Order: sequence, then C-alpha cells, then structure tokens
Amino acid sequence: MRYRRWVASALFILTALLTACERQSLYRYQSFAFGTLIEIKIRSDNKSLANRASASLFADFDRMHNDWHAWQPGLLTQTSSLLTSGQWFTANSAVLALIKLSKHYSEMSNGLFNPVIGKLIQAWGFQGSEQPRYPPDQNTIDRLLQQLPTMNDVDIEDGRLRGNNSWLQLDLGAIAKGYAVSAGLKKMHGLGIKNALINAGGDLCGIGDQGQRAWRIGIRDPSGEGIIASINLENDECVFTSGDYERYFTHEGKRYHHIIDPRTGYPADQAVSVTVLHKNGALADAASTALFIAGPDDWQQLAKKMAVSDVMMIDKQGRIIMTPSMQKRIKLEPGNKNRIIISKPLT
Amino acid sequence: MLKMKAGDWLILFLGLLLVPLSWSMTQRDPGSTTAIEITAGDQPPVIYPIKNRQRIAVTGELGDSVMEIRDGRVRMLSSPCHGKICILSGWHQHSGDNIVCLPNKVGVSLISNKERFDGINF
Repeated sequence: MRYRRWVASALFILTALLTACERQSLYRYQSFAFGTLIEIKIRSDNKSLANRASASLFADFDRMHNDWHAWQPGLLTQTSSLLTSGQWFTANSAVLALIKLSKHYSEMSNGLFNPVIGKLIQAWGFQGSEQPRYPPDQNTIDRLLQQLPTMNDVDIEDGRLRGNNSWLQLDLGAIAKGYAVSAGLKKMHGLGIKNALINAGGDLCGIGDQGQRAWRIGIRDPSGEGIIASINLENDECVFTSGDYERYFTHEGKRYHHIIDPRTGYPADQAVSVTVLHKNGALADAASTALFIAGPDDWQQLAKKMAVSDVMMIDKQGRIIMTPSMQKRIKLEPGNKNRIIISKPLT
Repeated sequence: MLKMKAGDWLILFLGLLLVPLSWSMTQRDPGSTTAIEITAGDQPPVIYPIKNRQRIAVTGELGDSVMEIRDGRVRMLSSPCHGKICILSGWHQHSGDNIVCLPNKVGVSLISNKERFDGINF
C-alpha cells in the first residue's frame, strides 16, 4: 500500500507541476522601427498587461527611431547641424544621454566605434533606402579622412554640447538599437513583465526565460547556410552580431559592406562577423562594430578595454575564434568543431 | 511488507515514461520553415503555408508588395519602395529569416512549427 501511495503522490506532484507550467502563455508582437522588423515575445499570465507593455514599447521605439534618425530631418540632424556651428548649445534630452554614452564607448574603443562619421557613411551610400551602386572615388575618401571627426571633437558639459569640427555628422546606427532594446526591457521590468525577448532585426535581448528553459538563440552562419551555434540567454543578457553580410553591394565583382573603418575610409575587411554577449545592449551593439573593425589581430586587446568578455569572431578564413568565457556559453552545431580557435583569456 | 502488483508497476512505468517524454518535448529537432508570416502596417500578421506555390500581394503604406512562394522558399517579387533592398535580398528559406520593406512597412517572417530557437541572431 505504501508503494501505491508513493506512486500516487509522485504522479500528483508531477501533474501539478505540469499544470503550473501551462498557466503562462507566450504572446508575440511585431512592428517596424530602426530600419527593421522588431519582434517582442512576452511570457505572462496577464494578456492585457502583455498587450499594454508591447504597445508602450513600440511607441517608444517609434519615437526613438524618429529622434535618432541619421538622415531624415529631426532631432539628430538638428543636433549635427548645431555641432558644426562651433557654439555651445543646450542638447535635447532625447538625444543627450545617447550622445554621452556614445562618447564614452568611442573612447573605450580607441575611436573604432565612431558615431560622428555620418558624412563618410553617406558618401558610401549607406544612408538612405537606395541600394548603393558603386564606391565613392578615392579623392572623396581622402578629403573626408583629412577632416575626419571623432567624439573628441564633441564637448559635453552640463547638458550642453559644442562641436569642434565642421565635418561632424552624427550617425548612431551602431548603438541605437542596442540602447533602445535594453531600455525597452528595463521598462518591461517596471511594468511587471518578468519574461520577455526582444528581437530587433537579428539582435536580441531577453529577460527571464521562455518557461521550461532559458531563451534559446540560434546564431546564423555568415555563409548563409543555417545555424552555426546556439546560446541560452541567462540573467537578462543581449546577443549582438555585426556582419559583412547585413548590408552590402557589389561593384565590378567586389563586395562592399556597410561597416566602415574610420582609419581607412573603406569597409573593414578582416572579419566576417563578430558576436558579443553582454548584459548591456548598447555596449554589445557598439562593441560588436568596434571589434569587427579591429579584426582578428587586435580585437582581444580592444575587447578587454571595452570590458566585454564573451566574444566570437568569424574571420575571412572561416575560423571561429572565441574567448574562453564565450566557449563556455556557446554550443556549436555539429561539423564546426575543427574550425574553433580559443583565444587567450582577456584578463 | 506488501508486494507491488502488476497494476502498480504499470502506473510506475507510465509515470517514469513521462520524464523522458517531457524532456524530448523541450528538445525538439530543428524544423524547416513551414510557413511565412506577413505583417503589413498596423494590420495583424497573416500566416501562409510555404508548401503551396503562390503569389501573395499585400498593401502597405506606399502600395502593393508582392511575395512569391516556391519550392519551400519565399522572395519579394515586387515592392514600391525605392531601394528595392528587399527584392535584391533574393530567396529566403531558413526559419527565423526576415524580409523587410521598411518604406512600405511590409515584413515577412519565416517560421516553423518545430521552432528550435526563440530567435535568430545575425
């Protein structure tokens, strides 16, 4: 009889646990912002709250998209224009925090994350909905490099800004999505959402979990053939990748992508993709761009300086180079193990 | 001490069977794309199976975007956006892929009913 009771009790507990798992539902929402499709997944037992939270976030993203747009007339283009005047001015609070953070990350990255080279990016044709057809001529690049602004040319003091280079043009494309998604998840926390995943066109941040397990993210193989690895997000993390396949054009048989090296004026050509895992979406976003530009020889030193420890780079030879801490987190798909190179610890 | 009867063993066996069964349900095999989900403007997304060869036209903010489904793949065939980046991106077949025509506010997500991942990073 004791065994029967034991079996009955075990089955009862198991059933209760399975029933408890079913109480929360997964809600999915989509909208457009930052030049891409944004998807929000929320696991909650309160559909009304999930609806309100997603609507509130999409409204925020829409506002940020307009405020931070690099070439459509708005707050950011106005700010760029004022920076070229050389005079102190009071910055709008909607852009000030992001500009401050951008200056900090730009210094950390030795200027490889450079959010004031809008003129150079524009010359390459990567500002606008048109597909570029050919690269700018060498004279144009040389001229832009001679005057190339950095964030050192932007003074920030008590909410006021001053530019010291008439070629300053803000383009926050390498940080805006990360900043926005992290801010969105923070807002979700405040609204009482415990479990959510935001996918901003392939860059993701999550809080909580999927229910029965952590949020599980597949990392696309840059060759375009399926998934190269997967990672489980733990303790409110973001995973951001910068790759040469995201936006590009081909001219006379050569491919030109959108990640421009501010040192050369040309697309950075040593890496294929860089993936960064970090709690801070803005840092993960900016660091993935900076480390991509740094390339296979210099990324480790820069990663240490930028305080990102979980990094994976795929180089031109198809080698998968990663930090020891990233190796502990990532699960490679079968057939890729002979491509791995583990870097020295960054500390 | 009472001995377990055949029925007791059966209940115990069924109970233990639930454990690997639950585990296998959470470790699904990767699934190929089974459908596309089209979002146009503020309209609720509409899902189409990817096995049926067809052309689908949806109206966005600038006009009609036309998608073609063929051989388990999908592409943007025509779109009123200026850059035509969505068209130039060609065929898509992997679950988690997106085709986005931002000016027209039309998005296509490739989905699977056996989704192994909650999101795809690229």
